[in-house]
Amino acid sequence: MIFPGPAEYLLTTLVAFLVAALATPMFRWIARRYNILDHPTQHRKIHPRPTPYLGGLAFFAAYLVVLVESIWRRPELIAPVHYPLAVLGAVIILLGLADDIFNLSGAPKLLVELMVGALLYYWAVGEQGLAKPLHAIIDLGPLAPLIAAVWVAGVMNAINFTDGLDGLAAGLVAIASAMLLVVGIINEQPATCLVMATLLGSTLGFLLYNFHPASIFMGDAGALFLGFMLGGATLVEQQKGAAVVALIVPVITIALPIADTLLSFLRRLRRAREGRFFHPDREHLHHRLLALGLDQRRAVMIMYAFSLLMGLLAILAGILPSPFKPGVPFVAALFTAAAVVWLHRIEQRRRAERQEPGPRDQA
Amino acid sequence: MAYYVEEYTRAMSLNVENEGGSPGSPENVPVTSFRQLQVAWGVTGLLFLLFNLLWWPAEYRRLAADPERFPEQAKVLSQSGQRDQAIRLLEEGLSRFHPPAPEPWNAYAGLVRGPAKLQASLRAGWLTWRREQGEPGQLLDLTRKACTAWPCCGWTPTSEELPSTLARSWRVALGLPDTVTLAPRDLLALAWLSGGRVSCDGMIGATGFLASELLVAWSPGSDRQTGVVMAVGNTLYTDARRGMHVALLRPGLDHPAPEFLHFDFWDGEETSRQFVQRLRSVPVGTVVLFAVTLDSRLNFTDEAEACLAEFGIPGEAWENGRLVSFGLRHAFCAIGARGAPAGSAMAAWSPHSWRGVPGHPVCCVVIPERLS
Repeated sequence: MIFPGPAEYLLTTLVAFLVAALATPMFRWIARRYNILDHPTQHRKIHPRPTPYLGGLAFFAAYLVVLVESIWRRPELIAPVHYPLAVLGAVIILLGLADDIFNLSGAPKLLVELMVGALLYYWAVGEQGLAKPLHAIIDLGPLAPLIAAVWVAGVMNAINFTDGLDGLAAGLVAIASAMLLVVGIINEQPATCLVMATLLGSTLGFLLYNFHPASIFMGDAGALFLGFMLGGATLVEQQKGAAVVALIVPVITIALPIADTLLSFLRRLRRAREGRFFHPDREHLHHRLLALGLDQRRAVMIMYAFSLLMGLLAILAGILPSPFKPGVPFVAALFTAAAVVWLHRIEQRRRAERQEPGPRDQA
Repeated sequence: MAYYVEEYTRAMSLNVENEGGSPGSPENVPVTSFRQLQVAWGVTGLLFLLFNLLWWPAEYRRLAADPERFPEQAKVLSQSGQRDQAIRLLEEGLSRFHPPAPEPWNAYAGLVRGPAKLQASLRAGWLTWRREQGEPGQLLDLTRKACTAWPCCGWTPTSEELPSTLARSWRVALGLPDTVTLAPRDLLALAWLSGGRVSCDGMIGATGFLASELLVAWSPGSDRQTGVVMAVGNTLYTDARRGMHVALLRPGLDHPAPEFLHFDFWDGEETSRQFVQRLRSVPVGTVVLFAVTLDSRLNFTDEAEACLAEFGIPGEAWENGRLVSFGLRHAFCAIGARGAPAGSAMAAWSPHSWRGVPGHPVCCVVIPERLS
């Protein structure tokens, strides 16, 4: 198969953008009409007034339209992973909508997410579990579906955790998908490129309504769906006719949500003794930036900038020759750790400033 | 923690002040009902239904044109009276996919006449036997018939070791008990039946090079219990390690000692570079045997493919929905020579699987005239 080239994916991005931009107000109307709203009644919610959900359906609609448009216009763009992503994506949307409306408990949600990840592996990848942790390839054997399930569920939750400020999750996914699209075009990975172009276009279209002050939220349905698509499409890369699990580039691209998820996981472990492992909190990175006194736009922009930096590193990891590739994840990890430590230092300094009286007060 | 709570409360109240809302006020208490879920799920279901209504007609059209569905396409052509086109389509599909399932071979046998019909039905018979794990007696019956259908089947091994090793490898690969005896003629018949290449006049395919020694390359594919078997004269080489095994036979010597090499491309592209460097260093006329265990495709660079072509190895295979230069996953063996014209060497391969049917071992044999 001849690789379609960047112009093809620009068109896909445009189609997805238009669908999301046109469908979002429609879903907003339905959400208002049937009172499917996010009420700011919980402590961790920071929006001031009830805001419509169902924004996530715009991503889903954009993906379905792109698939239909592609299979009729250029069937060769469609890869075996695309239909399973649509079917299992629908399951994730249904789960997310139920969560938005009834605020489901975390444990059964996680179970469904893991099952969907494993199903995707068996359906779209199947037979052999090859992995490419750095540059050599290893056979994962029976561990492959487990790793796939943990990866997909992990990315879904990582994106969901970042969905705390107007435009944050959609913007981070737009940046990550743009970077993964560039890597996909460079490495000629048509299956990944179609999904990434769709995610890029649909998140940009949605941001027209979701950037601060947001008039619609994507909800858990949207965040889980975006995470599922991001995780599912990057799960495998076709390499010389074999499906290889190569997660380094996507891990770097979404380093920020992943770091936030890891920190959240550690906090939850601490709370697990009180039986509150699945209870959400307000200590995510975006909450901490707000607590420093930043407004939503600034907090979001800082996180966009960091994500962009990580994305550029991911492109570097995608294009560097094999001997240099292993260095990039370490640089990315170093940057991420430095950013978290920097944030912690600022918080400590602020805390010290508040607690200790200044020299003038002492006098 | 108290600090954070205080800060968040402050941030929240600031937002509220700025935007005129009142979080948590009684009028905003959510009212959830199954009606809302019905609407949300209903919209999702409707979208998905519409999508499927538009998707499947195009998907059926796409599947109908899928090159891998050549047996079905040939059947339609044949039923509409276009027999020649059906034969051409089947020949193209058989050479492109090397299907390890009997159905396409049966379809081909049903349309052609003469020796091609007999050969295709024998291949179909062997593949059916393999898929259904038939009795050993039925296999020996097939090998006996194969010896009448292909140009040559007889050879005189100069040592006991090679035929016994090959027989053991075939037995393991085909799940036969140790008690089944596979005579040298059965081994050649199995090579024919599995789509291998056999030369009985010492010529290495159409390369123009003549072998003075017996040359054998046997690849088990994904079966790593056996590993590859290669033989140059009386020198036998067996190795179960994953990757490409290579035997180099320098020209210009009466009884040259072969050099055996192993490359595992899963180690990274560096192995591909070493492969290219080593193979390009041999002089023109060097006879080279290749055999693969499990896989040699991952990290096999374009340059390595070009290097393989320089030995006259014929290419093109269909793997996971795309056309690739060489069928290096999972059973592949070849005998070529440095400087041979493109595509003139002997090569055989079997896919990892075709429509769920696993591939099988393949074998290339060159028998000098004095031994055939």
